[in-house]
Order: sequence, then structure tokens, then C-alpha cells
Amino acid sequence: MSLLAYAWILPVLPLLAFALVISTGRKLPRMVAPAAGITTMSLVCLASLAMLWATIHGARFTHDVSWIHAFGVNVEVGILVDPLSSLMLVIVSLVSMLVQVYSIGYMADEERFRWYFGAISLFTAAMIGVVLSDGWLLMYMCWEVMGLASFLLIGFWYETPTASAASMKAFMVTRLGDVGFGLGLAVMWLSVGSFTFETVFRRVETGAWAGPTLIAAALLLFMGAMGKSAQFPLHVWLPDAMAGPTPGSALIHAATMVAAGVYLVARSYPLFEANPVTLQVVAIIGAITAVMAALIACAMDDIKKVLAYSTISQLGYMMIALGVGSWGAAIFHLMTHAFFKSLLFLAAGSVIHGTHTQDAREMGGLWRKMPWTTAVWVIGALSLAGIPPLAGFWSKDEILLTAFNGGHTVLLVAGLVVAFLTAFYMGRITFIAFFAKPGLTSKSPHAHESSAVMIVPLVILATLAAFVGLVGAPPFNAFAAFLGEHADPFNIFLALVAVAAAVGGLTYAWVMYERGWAFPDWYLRNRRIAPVLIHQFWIDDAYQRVIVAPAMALADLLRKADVAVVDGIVRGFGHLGMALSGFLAVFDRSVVDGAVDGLGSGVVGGGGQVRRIQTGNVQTYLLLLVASIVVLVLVFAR
Amino acid sequence: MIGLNHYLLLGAALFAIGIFGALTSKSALRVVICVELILNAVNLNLAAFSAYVAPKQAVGMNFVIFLMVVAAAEVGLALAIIISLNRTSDVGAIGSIRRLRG
Repeated sequence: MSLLAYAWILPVLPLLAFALVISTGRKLPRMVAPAAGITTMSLVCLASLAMLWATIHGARFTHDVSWIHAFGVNVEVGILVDPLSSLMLVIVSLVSMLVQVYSIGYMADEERFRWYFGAISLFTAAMIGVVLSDGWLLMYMCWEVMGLASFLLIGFWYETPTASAASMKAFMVTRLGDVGFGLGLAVMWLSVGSFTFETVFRRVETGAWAGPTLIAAALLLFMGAMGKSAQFPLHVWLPDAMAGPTPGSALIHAATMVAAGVYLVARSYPLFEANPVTLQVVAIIGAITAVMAALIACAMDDIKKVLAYSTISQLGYMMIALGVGSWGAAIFHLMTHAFFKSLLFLAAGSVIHGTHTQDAREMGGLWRKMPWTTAVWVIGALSLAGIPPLAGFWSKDEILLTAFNGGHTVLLVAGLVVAFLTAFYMGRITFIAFFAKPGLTSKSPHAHESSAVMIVPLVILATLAAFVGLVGAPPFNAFAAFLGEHADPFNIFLALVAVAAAVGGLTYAWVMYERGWAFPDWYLRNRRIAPVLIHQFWIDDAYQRVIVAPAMALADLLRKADVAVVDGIVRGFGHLGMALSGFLAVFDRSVVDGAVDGLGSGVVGGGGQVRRIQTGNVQTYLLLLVASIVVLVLVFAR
Repeated sequence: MIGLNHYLLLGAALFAIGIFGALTSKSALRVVICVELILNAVNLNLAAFSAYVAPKQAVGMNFVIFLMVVAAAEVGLALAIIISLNRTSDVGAIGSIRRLRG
């Protein structure tokens, strides 16, 4: 109990690391930035493990403080430590720590080395804040900070136009979802008058809050989750987000932040459970996302893009789990996914580091050059594909099992199709990049294995990706019990179907890319299928036409109006002033200056003329004297 | 019969000769002599007016005495300057003395 009461320190530690990096800048010795990040994250990780241990043994902690207390309004914020949050803490801190260790090697040559670690620390602090908060308000605030950190890391190489555009796109698209989140909070406040989970859930359980406002609030919250977790149709930012550094992508855009949407729905589950329609929406969106992203992943040659679409697809999988009524399965898959997807991303980073290309067609035969990377990649890929006994199998099986037992046939079929596609595209990219004979443009001959600082985190993650699924494996189902969820009994028939789908996908990829018995990428030469996949279902184009182009046109119109009217008036005044001042300038120059200059030059010229009389010759003076007298006499002596 | 006008004419002639000489002479000594001529022309006029216009007061006569004294002093001074100039710069021609030029 006493340990959990100090949970508020956890987000503060990485925040201090961030503050250190951002306040010292270049004065900080180079290696202090990762040292600060990794030290704080190790402490957080150890504390999280201790807290997980405590929660396994039944400890719970929640504490609220009054934040705004005025005008009859009382807004409370606080922290909550329960199985879900302590589990998320372990996932976040563990992956963040391993990613930071890996980044020491991956980012070694970067100019903004320190800043990178600062941003990672900021992100981790925000993510810890999200999972620790005991109400939606604090969660929303940390959620936004997380969005900022994501923006900063996507735009890490902001000199490249694609990276800066991608960061902007990610920020805008997720903001669209967050507007929904914010509106959901407003609905909640108006209906319940509180943001804390406990209060709101009690109102929902007793039926005091029900009806359209509850549905609206739940769907609006889900909109926030759709933005953050890249669900259709707000998924467009995630593939572009791959412009950021690969370890950052591994942490934020694969393992943790994008899973925050799933966490949000799981955390708010009573709100969704109250109305089946909201769960259906979640499941349908999840299914569309999972199938669509898996299809697109089959057409990608960029190794990071494949993983990005795979992430979207797997997040859709988690949404299916939430939609069919098992948030425990969703969180289980979230955990296994966090480990094997961050593993895959870091392994991809190792490949990119070794070959200096992201295009799988420019690789091939990497297993000879990079044995460690290949080994961990294969473990990650098999885990993602759902081959037993690796982690991905258990979590995926649990989702399919829930769908099957709930009688959601369409969702079950969608899940199996995605399982097949997942195995296929992972097999495809694995065979092309690691096992196929290197082509003429291949950069594999010059590839080199990465250093130990990158390999060690990979091996740790590979171990986790291989074995972490066992905590949820039957017959004990320890994981679901820990979260307080019931788990359906293991169904050997369904498990066999799922494994068949995965093996089928891998075999088909093997047949196509390794044996050459089927024409490789035949679907990319099919005139009907290829455009759909290559244009990614035209969703970006649709955004371009429906939102971006009209917005640009409106902006252009407003700009023209601005130029014509506002600028016209301003310019008119300007021209008037110019004309007036031009006239005044001429007047000034000719008359005022003329008078002054004229006087001056007159004096100078006259002086010059008079000067000549002053010859110094006495006789001349005398002559002038006489002449003057003669003149005077002639004038006056009449 | 010699009247005032004859004296005045003589004075005017002397004055004119003096002016002419002072303006045209190159020698500094001659300029001084010519200046003496001018002074004496004035003296002649003063004496003539004194004698013909107001003989009793003899104011003009007094002026003449004064002027003669002044002229004597002036000649002394002028000769001293000329000698000094001759000694220092070995010039006799007054035209070459331009030190008065401002």
C-alpha cells in the first residue's frame, strides 16, 4: 500500500530527465542525455515491476486531490493503481528503457542526439500519466502531451520536407480525434459532473446515467481512441509517421502511444458495455481497419511501411476484441503486440542502420550478414503471425475465441482473414529482405551487423515476444484472472483453424517468394486489385479532395479577398502617403533646402568673388579707395 | 589777380599728381613722396580756405600745423618701414609686397 502511494513520482522522474535535457542544451555532455533517460526509466521500470507484484497480490491504490474548487465546481484529479495501470506501466517503462538503450547505438551520429532522448523522456512521462490517471481529465491532458511528443519525434528530421509534413499531418489528424475526446468529456461533465472513473462508473452501473448522452459520450471518447490508435478513417497519419527515427517509431507508433486508444476504450469499458450499439461501432471500425490495413501491408515494399500498416491492422484487432466484449483479450494482445512489434521495429531499424535503405527490394540475403538481427526478426515475425507457442498466438487466439463464443461470425471471419494476411505479408517481407538472393540493386553485400548496444535490447525483446504470451496461456489463464476478466475455455478446434490460417499465409509467402512456384506479387500486376492497394483505398486522396482541397480553396479565396480588399485599403493609404510625402519631399528639396543651400552657396560664392579684391597690394586698395571717393563725389556733389 | 580758385586748382593738381604717383609708382620711396604730395595738397587747400573764407579764426592754419607734424611723423615711420623691408626682403618694388593680403 505504502509503495503504491508514491506512484505519482513515476511520471515526474522522466519529466525531470526531459527538463534537464531541454534546459541545458548543448552544454550537457553528450552521453548524459541517454544516461538520464535510461536511469530514470530503469527506476520507473523497477518500481513498476514492484507495483505489478503488489497488485498481483491484491493491492490497489487511488488518491484524488481537488484541483479546481470554485463557483460550486469541484474538479478532481488523481492517480489510480490497479492491475490494468500497473501492467501498462511495466509495458511502457520496459519498452521505453530498451528503446533508449538501443537508440544510443542507432542515433549515435545524430546532431540532436540529446534532444531525441529529451523528447522520448517527455513522451514516456506523458504516457505514464495517461495510464496512472484515475479520471478522464488528467488522462486527456497527458494524452495531448503525448501527441506533442509524437509530433516532435515524427518531425525529428524537420529539415526534410516529408518529415515536417508527416509530423503536421499526424498532429492534425489525431487532433481531429481529440476534438471528439474533448466533446465527450464535455458531455460527461454535463451529465455526471465528474471526470473520475469511480464516480462515473457508479452512475452508469446504477443506471443513473444512460440513454443518448451516454452513447454520445462513449462514441466521442472512441473518436479520440480512433485518432490515437490510427483506426479507419483516421489511420492516415501513422504510415507517414514512419518519417521519424525508427526507435522512436518503435516506442511511440508501434508499442505504446498508438495502444493508448485501446487502453482508453478498455479503461472506459463500462461506458461502452452499457450500450451494445457502441460496442458494435467499435468492432466494425476495428474490423474494417484490420482487414484494410492488412491488405495494404501486402503491397508495401518499404520495410517500415509494412510494419506501420501491420500496426494499424493489429490495433484494429484489439478493437475487434473490445467490440466483441473482451477488454482483457484486447489488453493481452496490446501487451504481446507491444513487445513483438517494438522488436520488429527495432530489428527493422537495425537493418536500416546496416543497409542504409528501407526498401526490401534493395535488401535480400541479409541473414548471412546480420544473423542476430535476422534471428530476432524471425521470432518477432512468427509471433506476429501467430505461430504457437510464441506470444502473438495466445493473444490472437483469445480474441478469436471471444468472437467465436459470442457468435460474431463476421468478425471471426474477418479475424481469420487478417490472421492469414498477417502471416502472408510478414512472410513476404521476411523472405524478400532476409532470405531471397540479393538482386542487382541490393545493398546487402555492404551490410554489417549492428553493435551490441542495439543487439542486446533486441534479444531481451525477442525473449519477451517469444514467452510473454504464456502468462495468458490455458489452462491457467493467469492474465485474464489478474485483470479480473473471465476467460473462455480453450477451444482446440478454433486454435487449429487460427494456426492453419497463419501457417497457410506463411506457406503461401514461401511458395511465392522463396520457391517461385507462384508469380511473386501477382496481385500488384492485376489491373483491378493493384490500384486499390497501391493507392491505399484512396483514403488519402479522399481527404485531399474532400477536406484539404476545399480548405485550400477557401484559404485561397480568403487570401485573394485579403489581397484585394484589406491589402487594397492598406496599400491605398500607403500610396496616398507616398504621394503626399513625394510632394513634400520635392517642396522640401527645392524650396526649403534651396533657400538654405542657396544662402550658403551665395555666401561662399560671394566670398570667393570678394576675396579676389583682397589682393594684398596696397596700391590696389588705394585705387579702389580713390575710385570709390570719385563715385561718391559724382553721386552726391551735385 | 590770384584768388581762392587758383589755390584750389593748384591743390587739386597736386592731389591728382600725388594720387597718380601713389597708384602707379613701383618704388616704395616714390609712393611715400607721392603721399607727401597728397598731404601737402590738402594742406594747401586748408591754408587757402583758412585765408579766404575765415581769416580771423585761422582754424585751417592750425590744422595745417598739425598735419605737417603728422606728415613728418609719417615720413619717419614710412622710411623706417621701407628701410626695414629693403633689409629683410631686398625688395624695392611696392607691388611685390603682398603680405597685407588676407
